[in-house]
Amino acid sequence: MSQKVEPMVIITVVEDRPGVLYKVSSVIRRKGINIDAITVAPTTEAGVSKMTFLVNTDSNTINQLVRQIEKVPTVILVGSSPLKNLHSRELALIKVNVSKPSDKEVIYALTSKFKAQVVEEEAFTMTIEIVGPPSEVTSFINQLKTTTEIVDLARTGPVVLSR
Amino acid sequence: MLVSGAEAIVRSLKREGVRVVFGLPGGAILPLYDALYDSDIKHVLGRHEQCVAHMADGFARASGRPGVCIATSGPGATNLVTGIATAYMDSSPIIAITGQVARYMIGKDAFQEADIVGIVTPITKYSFQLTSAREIPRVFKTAFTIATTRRPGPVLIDVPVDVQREQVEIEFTDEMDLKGYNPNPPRVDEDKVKKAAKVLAESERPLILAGGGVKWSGAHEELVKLAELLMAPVATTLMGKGVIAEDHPLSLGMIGMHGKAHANYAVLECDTLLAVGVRFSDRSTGKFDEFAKGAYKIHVDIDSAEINKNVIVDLPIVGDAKEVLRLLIKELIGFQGTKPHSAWINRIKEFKAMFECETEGSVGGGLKPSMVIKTISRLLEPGKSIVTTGVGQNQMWSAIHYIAKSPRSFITSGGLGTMGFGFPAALGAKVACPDKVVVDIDGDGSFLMTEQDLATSVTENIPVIVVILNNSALGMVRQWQHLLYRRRFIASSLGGVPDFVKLAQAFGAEGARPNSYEEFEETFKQAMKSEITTVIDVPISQEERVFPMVLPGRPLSEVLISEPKS
Ligand SMILES: Cc1ncc(C[n+]2csc(CCOP(=O)(O)OP(=O)(O)O)c2C)c(N)n1
Repeated sequence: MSQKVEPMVIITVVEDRPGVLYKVSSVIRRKGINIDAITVAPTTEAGVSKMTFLVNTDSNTINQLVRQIEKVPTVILVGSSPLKNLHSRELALIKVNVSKPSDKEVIYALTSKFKAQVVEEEAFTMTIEIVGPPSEVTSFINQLKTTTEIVDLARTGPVVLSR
Repeated sequence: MLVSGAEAIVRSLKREGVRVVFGLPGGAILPLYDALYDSDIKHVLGRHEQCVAHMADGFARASGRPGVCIATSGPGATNLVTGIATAYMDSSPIIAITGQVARYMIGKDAFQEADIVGIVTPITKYSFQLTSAREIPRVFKTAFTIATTRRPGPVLIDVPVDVQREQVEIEFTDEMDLKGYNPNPPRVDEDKVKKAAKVLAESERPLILAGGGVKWSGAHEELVKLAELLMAPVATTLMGKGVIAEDHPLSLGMIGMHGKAHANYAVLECDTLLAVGVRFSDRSTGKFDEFAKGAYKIHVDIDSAEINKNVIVDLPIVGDAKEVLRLLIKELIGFQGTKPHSAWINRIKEFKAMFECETEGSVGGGLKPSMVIKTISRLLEPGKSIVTTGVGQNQMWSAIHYIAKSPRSFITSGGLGTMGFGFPAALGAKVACPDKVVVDIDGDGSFLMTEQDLATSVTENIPVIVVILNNSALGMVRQWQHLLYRRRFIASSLGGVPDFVKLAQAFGAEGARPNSYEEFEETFKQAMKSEITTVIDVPISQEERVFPMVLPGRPLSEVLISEPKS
């Protein structure tokens, strides 16, 4: 029974206590699944946090996982969805090398095409911020790579909301 | 009121109805022991923390009430781990209380510090580390609730030593501490019950498979009633052994790797399978995809995470077994057109007759394990006795030949298969049920792992009977080496050491070595009357094998009745 493997998101609403991330991630680990990205942030309710996990797997496995996670006593709510069915945004900070002035022009052209911002500009480096759907962030980074050298990179992983 | 954390723990235990705890003290838990000094909670001093956990587990499995064990920080806590994992795999509600270094020392690799909460997270239903004595009433209430409701399981509470000493104003409450846990059983989907009733009523070859969930839910009466109503045969898993009296005409006994051949055949030929409180362990099902392949499968379980985990089913019903079975019975009473199953029942009788005699074969010297167990089965009074087992051949022979007649009368480590479990579990069961005769049918290898608690049994006056099926070997390992590794026996002979009779005597227990069935029966009857523990060392042959057997990873259809001719 082979099923399609694709980026899936597990969204959990949890009590904000020590160990809750450990417990949930250990359930995922036990199934032998790699976590591609995690975000953890407070919700509007005090003492309650939202944790989002991005994993690559099929819908059968994700259903199993969700039912296992549901059993964790500090998990208040859990659900899952293919990433493509959600509103998702990701932020990335990228530091690049600029060896010659003409590079800067190429980078500025690219940032305006992707609606990215230049956060800091030095003589030989630039730091750029981009917010957008994860796939767009990825393609921005890929295009940057073809023109210049990426020195450092930080991505948040997707934050998601149901449509 | 102003109390110390330790006193608050004792009060919390009393509020939960705890009358006995099993433990072994050390520095980081001494304030709690000091508070126990003033209380009427009985403390049973074990000789190894693994044993105090198994005792609490045996207590829980025999009584249905949570068992409590206590250990100190560091090595005390890590010694509990095997016992906690054993309870977790078989859904047994135990509460483990561990001492911990003082709060300000945590994370500093202090003397006897171990991150026990980190260690047991995957093998507990939940675990707590206290940060203030003020949390004690709520945490204990929550811990007992989590351990005993829904699918039961172990909970650990780690208590820093200064929290035990801390003096605080405490209000005792029944309030719980968790938003994400609903102790009430899930609501049963009645449409699914109706559907199940219809399918069952119209089936020609129905089979009920009952597991440990029936026992924990207390649904054994409903199970038998439903079986009789449907005239459907009932097979069990290892954990379900005893939920229907095994001498009931509809009982088939255990399925699985060492299940009864006719029970496995019934699984192959049934057209509808009603599985209740089972988790479809690979030891029960054989190859998952082949399990009851042609049958319409209905799965009743309280844990929705078990649905479609191992075996894909047609109709899952999530809920408490007792409630679901009750609803099913209600639906089925007065249901017109329930099919007669006499042809099906006769077919199973044929299987039974075909295989019954063939599992008896004996080899070599010594007593036959099957005969020894049948004698025990005959001598023990139903409802007044409990059998526990070690792990290995002794366990499987017991599962096959011991006729369990009531729920909670057969206690064994199924999921984890923990050697050394049988004896301390017997002690815990005896503490829970002092009026019952408790017998541990054990292997020499298994018993060697926890035999030091003979000291507990003698000094704490907890008399049980230990029957060692002594083959001077790690018998089950030898059996696998024989069947799967071309008889290349390595590291599976125990050399006949020690002399268990003398060993028992050294501990102040009684020891005996019967050399005939008559002697065995005589010794066993004596032991049943004895006020101290008796170890009966029964010599059996190393060549004895457990059959039937389904080789690992194979489907149940490939059950071997005797040694394959090679
Ligand atoms: C703690 C532990 N270690 C190892 C094993 C693997 N194992 C399974 S059965 C067995 C042999 C058991 O020997 P014994 O207790 O003498 O019982 P027998 O099979 O001879 O009846 C072993 C080593 C186990 N189940 N548990």
